[in-house]
Amino acid sequence: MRAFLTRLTVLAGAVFAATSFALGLRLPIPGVPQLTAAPTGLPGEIPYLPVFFILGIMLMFLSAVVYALVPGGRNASPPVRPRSR
Amino acid sequence: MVTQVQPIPYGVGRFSAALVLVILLLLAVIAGGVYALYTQLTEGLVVTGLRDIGTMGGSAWGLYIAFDVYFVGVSFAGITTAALVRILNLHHLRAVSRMAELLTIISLILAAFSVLPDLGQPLRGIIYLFKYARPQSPFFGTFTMVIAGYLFASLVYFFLDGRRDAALCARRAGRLQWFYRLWASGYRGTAEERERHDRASFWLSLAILPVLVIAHSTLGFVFGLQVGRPGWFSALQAPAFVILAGVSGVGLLIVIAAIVRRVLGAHDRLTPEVFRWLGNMLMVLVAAYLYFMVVDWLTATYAAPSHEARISRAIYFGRYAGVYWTSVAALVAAFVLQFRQFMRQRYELSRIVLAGVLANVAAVGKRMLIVVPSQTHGALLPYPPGTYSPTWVEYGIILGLFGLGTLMYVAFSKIFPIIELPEEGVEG
Repeated sequence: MRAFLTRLTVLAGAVFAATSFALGLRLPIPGVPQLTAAPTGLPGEIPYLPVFFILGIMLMFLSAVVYALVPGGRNASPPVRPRSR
Repeated sequence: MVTQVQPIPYGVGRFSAALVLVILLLLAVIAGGVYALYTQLTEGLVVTGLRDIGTMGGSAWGLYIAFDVYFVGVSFAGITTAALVRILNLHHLRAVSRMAELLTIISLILAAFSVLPDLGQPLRGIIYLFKYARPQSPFFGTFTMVIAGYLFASLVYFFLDGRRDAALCARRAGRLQWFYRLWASGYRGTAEERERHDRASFWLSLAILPVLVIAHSTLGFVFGLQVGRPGWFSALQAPAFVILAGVSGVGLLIVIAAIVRRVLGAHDRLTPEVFRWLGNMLMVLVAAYLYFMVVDWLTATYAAPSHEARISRAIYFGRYAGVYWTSVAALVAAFVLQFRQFMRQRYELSRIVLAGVLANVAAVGKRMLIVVPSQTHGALLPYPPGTYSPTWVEYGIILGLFGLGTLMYVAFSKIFPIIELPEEGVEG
């Protein structure tokens, strides 16, 4: 049961990190074609586009924190007993 | 986790009388800046030296924007150094890595603060930027890439990089133990954790470097894409911004590292080798920027259109010649100082620090020359040349920002080790 829960935690962590990265990558995309919108004639104004852009970039970088913080593999196992000093 | 009683090294939590005096002085400088800002907000931008271009014969951007560019530039070296240490395994520079990261974060905060006084209605400016900014505008890139990408990525990197030391600090009893535990967020230094941390930091460093170049380039594009403003419209603006950012940032990092070395007595960590590396980095960057200046000079004086020539004359021989030649002299002196040491392979800390100071004097001068002359002397309509002289309000606000930045740096160094703690097992 414990091993199963450990594997589940690791999987959930990996999925969470991957999802946050993918979502972060997706959010700024509407803004990318508009970088050259003046000559191409694309609609120039999407309200709160900067917010989506910023959130996307933040989420992508945040996925590094998720990856580093979530327990994985051996790290998810019970902590090593403290050494007596 | 075993609790230890030894104090955290590098002066964390210890306040001397001299330090209290410095903090009081910084608070006084900040209070002066707040008063200047209050004066501007209540009486309007008329108390500054800023005036409309052309009709009022002035400059709409002045000291605030010049220092915004300067602060963003300074931030460049911090995270670049930290990222390069990770990617290229530059162990010599590990001791300045955290100092550099902190410099980046504080500089970016100061950069944001130095733009706000330039806006007549700062609050409205912030809200409208979130709502209406258009991706075609380089301001959009500066706003999103610098604030979101650059600052946030730096914070993430700073957090991850500090977890190991936070875990070490959390083993010491004290009032801030909760803070260290929170930062360490469960870090115990197991092999798995270290591997995971190294992998995350490496990829983060790789991701940060292009964001960094893009962010600084978009700031250059704010000027370089303005086709109707002679002196600004140039393909050289973006790369020159990146290089000058490196010059000012590495220069300031050298100065800060020297101060930390002296104040904390960290001679064993901030060795001459560290300064030799930073000094050589500064030398290469200054040489690259001098090349840009020569190219700029040749282009402007060879066969420039009349409006471009008018600005060039004002910069090289006219109203702005003093600032220009001072900047050139400072850059050349910084290069010569470093190059002589490099050729002799004998380095002196005082000379490296002097080169760092000179590089920053030149950087401030060049920022002013990038921002102001094109507005006072670059009108395409037949307006007479304008003038711009900052008032005490502008100087007061900028000094206040420097005070705030220094106070933030000092305050952080008193709650967290400013130099990475030496290697030891944290497990257990």
